[in-house]
Amino acid sequence: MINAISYLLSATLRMGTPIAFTALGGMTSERSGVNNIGLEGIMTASAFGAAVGSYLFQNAWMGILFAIIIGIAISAIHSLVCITWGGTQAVSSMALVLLSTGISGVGLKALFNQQGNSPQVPYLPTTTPLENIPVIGPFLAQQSPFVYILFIMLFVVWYLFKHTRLGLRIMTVGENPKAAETAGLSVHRIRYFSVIFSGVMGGLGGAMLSIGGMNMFQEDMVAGRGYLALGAVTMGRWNTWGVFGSAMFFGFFSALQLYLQTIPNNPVPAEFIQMIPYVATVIVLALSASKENVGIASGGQPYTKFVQQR
Amino acid sequence: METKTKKPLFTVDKKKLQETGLSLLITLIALVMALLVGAVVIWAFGSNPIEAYGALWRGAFGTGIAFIVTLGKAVPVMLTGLAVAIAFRCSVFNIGAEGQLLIGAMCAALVGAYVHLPMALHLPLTILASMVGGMLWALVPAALKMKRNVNVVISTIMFNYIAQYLVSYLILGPFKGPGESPATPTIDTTAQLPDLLPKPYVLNLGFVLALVAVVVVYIILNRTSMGYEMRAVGFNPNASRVNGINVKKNMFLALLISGALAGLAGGIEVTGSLDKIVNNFSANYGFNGIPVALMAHNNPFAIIFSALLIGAMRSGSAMMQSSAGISKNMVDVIQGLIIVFLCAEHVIRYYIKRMGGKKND
Amino acid sequence: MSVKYSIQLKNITKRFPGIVANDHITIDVEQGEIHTLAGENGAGKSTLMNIIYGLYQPDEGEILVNEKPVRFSSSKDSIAHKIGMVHQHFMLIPKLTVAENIVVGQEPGSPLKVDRKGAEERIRQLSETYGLKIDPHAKVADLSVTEQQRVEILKILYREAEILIFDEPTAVLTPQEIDEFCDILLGLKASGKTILFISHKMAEVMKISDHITVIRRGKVVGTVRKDETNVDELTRMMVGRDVDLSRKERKHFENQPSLLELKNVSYTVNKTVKKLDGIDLQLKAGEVLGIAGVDGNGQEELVQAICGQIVPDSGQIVFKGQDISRQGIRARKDGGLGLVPEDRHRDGLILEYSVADNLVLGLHYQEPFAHHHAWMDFKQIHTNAQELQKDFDIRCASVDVPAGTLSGGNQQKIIIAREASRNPDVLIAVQPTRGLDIGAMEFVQKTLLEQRDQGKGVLLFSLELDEILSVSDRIAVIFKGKIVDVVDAESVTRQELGRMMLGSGKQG
Repeated sequence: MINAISYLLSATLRMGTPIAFTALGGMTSERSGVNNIGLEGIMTASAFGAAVGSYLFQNAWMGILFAIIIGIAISAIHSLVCITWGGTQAVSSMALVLLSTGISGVGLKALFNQQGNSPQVPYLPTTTPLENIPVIGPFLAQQSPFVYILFIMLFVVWYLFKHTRLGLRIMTVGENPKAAETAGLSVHRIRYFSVIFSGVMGGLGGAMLSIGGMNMFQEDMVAGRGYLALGAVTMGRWNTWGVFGSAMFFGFFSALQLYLQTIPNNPVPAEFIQMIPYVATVIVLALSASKENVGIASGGQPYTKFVQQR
Repeated sequence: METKTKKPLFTVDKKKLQETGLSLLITLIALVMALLVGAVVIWAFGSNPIEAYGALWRGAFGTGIAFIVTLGKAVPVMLTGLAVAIAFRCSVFNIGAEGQLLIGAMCAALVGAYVHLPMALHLPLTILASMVGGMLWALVPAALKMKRNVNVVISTIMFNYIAQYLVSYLILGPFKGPGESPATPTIDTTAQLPDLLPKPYVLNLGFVLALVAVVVVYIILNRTSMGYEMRAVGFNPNASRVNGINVKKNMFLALLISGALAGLAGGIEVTGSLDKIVNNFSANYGFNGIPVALMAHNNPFAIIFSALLIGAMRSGSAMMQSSAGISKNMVDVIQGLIIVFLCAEHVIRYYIKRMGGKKND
Repeated sequence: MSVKYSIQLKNITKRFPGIVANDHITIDVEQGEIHTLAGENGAGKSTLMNIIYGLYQPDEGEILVNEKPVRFSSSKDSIAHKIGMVHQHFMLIPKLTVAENIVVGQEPGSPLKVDRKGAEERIRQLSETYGLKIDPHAKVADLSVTEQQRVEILKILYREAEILIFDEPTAVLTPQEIDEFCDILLGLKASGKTILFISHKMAEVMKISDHITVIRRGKVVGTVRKDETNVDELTRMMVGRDVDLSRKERKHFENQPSLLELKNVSYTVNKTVKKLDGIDLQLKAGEVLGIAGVDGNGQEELVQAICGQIVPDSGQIVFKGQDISRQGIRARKDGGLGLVPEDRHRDGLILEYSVADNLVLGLHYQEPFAHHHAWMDFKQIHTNAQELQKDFDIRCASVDVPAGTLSGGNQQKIIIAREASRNPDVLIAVQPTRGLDIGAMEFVQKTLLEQRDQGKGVLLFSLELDEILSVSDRIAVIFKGKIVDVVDAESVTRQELGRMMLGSGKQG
């Protein structure tokens, strides 16, 4: 029993972390008024980028750096399309997904001459040195450094919105871009920052998949986690802790499904467990969507500056 | 005094023609830009873009057989393109075509394999089952939109994954056919779409069905009061509501029709070429409907051509991979780029207008 | 001592596609004065203010601040020149606190830590100095309209603005609140601020201004000192002619049956704000019933309740003897309610649709335009359009061009033609002449009177007293969601109406 709980707890963290990274980034972008349902694409491309970086330099940390750069590049496209060109955000997001899956496929073939997955690359090992800490040591030792990076980023995002100037400005831009502009803020610049930040976070989320949880990139390894991150943002009510909690909630079901596979005579088919996060997102939306004052006031709306308005 | 001018049903309006020309121009500009940027990507990954595009072209149109394959590949994306477009016209973004297609295909596979009837009944019933299946899969997101105002984009995405896991469960579990690999039993020959051409050409009746669907969607949108309402809602939901149009009902209907079309795409895949459902058979037909619809500016007849284009990419990509050495995933990149540049519509329009304006001065 | 100028506009011109919003406008604003910009709706006042605030760039002309030429490329520049603006629609974020709303953009403390305590302290000081009571810690969502306005004022005072622009600040206020607001402005003036005040309400303009500049159709008509002018002269300057207050000829229909009757209709939003508070109203056949009132006193909700766009909490709406309170929008319209909505672009037309298609919007599913409620008959739609185009003098290249390409007046004619062609028993017209030129305005009013003369009931909502007085037979005055009184249009004066609109009875 204790073993099961310990396994589940550890696996929940492991499975929830990539979702949480991406979701916290998505939350930041959405709070500035730019929705990105293409987080899935950012994760795919950066999972691939991480494998490439790690392979080229034979160093997993370089992999993380690569993943972040790729995340920034993909989200920069989204910013350009949605902020500067005023394109439809949902449509642009779908372009990101196609672009990202395409690029990783093309890259696999061109760089490794392989299809489906990359060769093995260096990965970030779990933090075994922590094993000597009494009581919680063995538990900590099972965790990937990504989990600790997540807690740092969790604090950063929380602090951003709680205390910083930029956080207040992001909220203002998202809720009422006109008010932000009349207060002398640059709506576009703040939105660019927020969307690109979501690229960084999605990059970390993607990197965790290929060089945190595994030691290679596989084509379908993101498997909808980007969309789950999107669900976590909504379910968590655009609140740092809520979003983190929702991501871990989704992580728990992935962990549960893994656990059930290990026990004999598994009573519930794995597919149904895997469905749960998606069903849960829809249910949560159904229970809350018709209420007013939910969500970000200007979310999804491109903003044309006063000066350009006719 | 009054001259009675007979007005033909299709009026050729200069303004309308201009607008159509402009839309076409924008699509072409986006396509060219996408191919150019795509060429840079190909080059950056160490292949020769001219060789790659040449192979893509040969693969898609190089031989009669290849051309017919392209026509066949255009069928599912034509239908998912129509699905996305009709919903779009009513300002519903259906990203769930993929899931609706899966469920539609599943329904067709089950009716095709487990119901036994003469062909005259079996085939229509199987096709109908796929449409009903797709429609039912769109029903929950549509109802949630109508009753609870749930964002369709998110709910349909989630339903894609639910569909994927459901289908995967069904072909592994209750409906697993004979043999090792996870797949449903092969459907009866009475449920299989007849071929249009003799071997070695591969084209089945599905192509005709898709063209019929184009005409039907055109008629619904442009000749019926339902279509008038859907388009009105798409343009201006406020004015529609104030003038007595039920906005929610129209969005609901649009999403159901969209689901049926996506389901039909799945049904034709199963009855036309697959004969059963295997894991991951769809290969993004649903998502490909998005660029197809966008390139056609959601115009049903234009979708025939944009679907052919995407179909050509799908059928030529293998040749591109084998002879130019660039992964066939490159066509996904190009499709993504096409969407990106189509999103620049406002910007492109602005520059075209400015250039046109200068000429007039 | 020579006069110092805070703001000088020299030949400011701003063009939008198809319209010259500001046409060589020249205004000099003295330091420390309250300078009013008066003019009718659509005269170009707001555009001019947005230019001064740096949100629009003028196509021609020059702005001088403190007698030095300036160039603003965004509001950041104007803020730097100590200019502040309170917009017609408040620029506030309901989810954030008063303090956060005020300081955003110029937050105290370091980038890494906004000094919220310090901000609240500073705001408390400011609110004491200027007598603008507010709790800096409150959420803006919980504030009343006047409190929100105070937040807006504090926002610009916090930025140490010396030149304050107010864009129609009294449009959303009740009379008592307007009085308080005028006192606030006078207080600000006393502390040395320069104020640019936009309004077209003569009472308050005469009360607080030093100079008044009148703008009509984008041009300056003239600038006058308050002590050297009077309401009549100003009105004449604004409208461009002596206002024709003579009443249109009326037919009298005695003892006509009541067509539309509202019984004790109430509507509450967010469980607290009573938008409609026990409305009782009767519209008889063959009359124009004008609904007068200050903007935002429940007119919008009243229209929506009658047309079925909102469901009242209580009360009955009886139309031709039948309770229609539970009917949907389409059923009511088909039953004989016509509506000319306030915002023609938002609610009246599908701008992308052709003129012909717009002329059947709402009728599109019925014979003769659609057969079996399904198949559209475009021949009929076209014929219908050509007839209406002729009857209502809709000027367009052809009825197949998109409605969006027509001028405002012609767009309004499409709506009026459509609604009249429904042959309604009751026609509801909401601000039907807003933003129209004189010609189109007279055409619209004539059509309304024609409908009345055919024995129909016309319900006219207007913010323009002149329009109400010259077109209506009876006038109902609405105030805070209640009907204050219903009076005969021939026996009431502007002054009496004005008083009622401020909430007091006819004798007041």
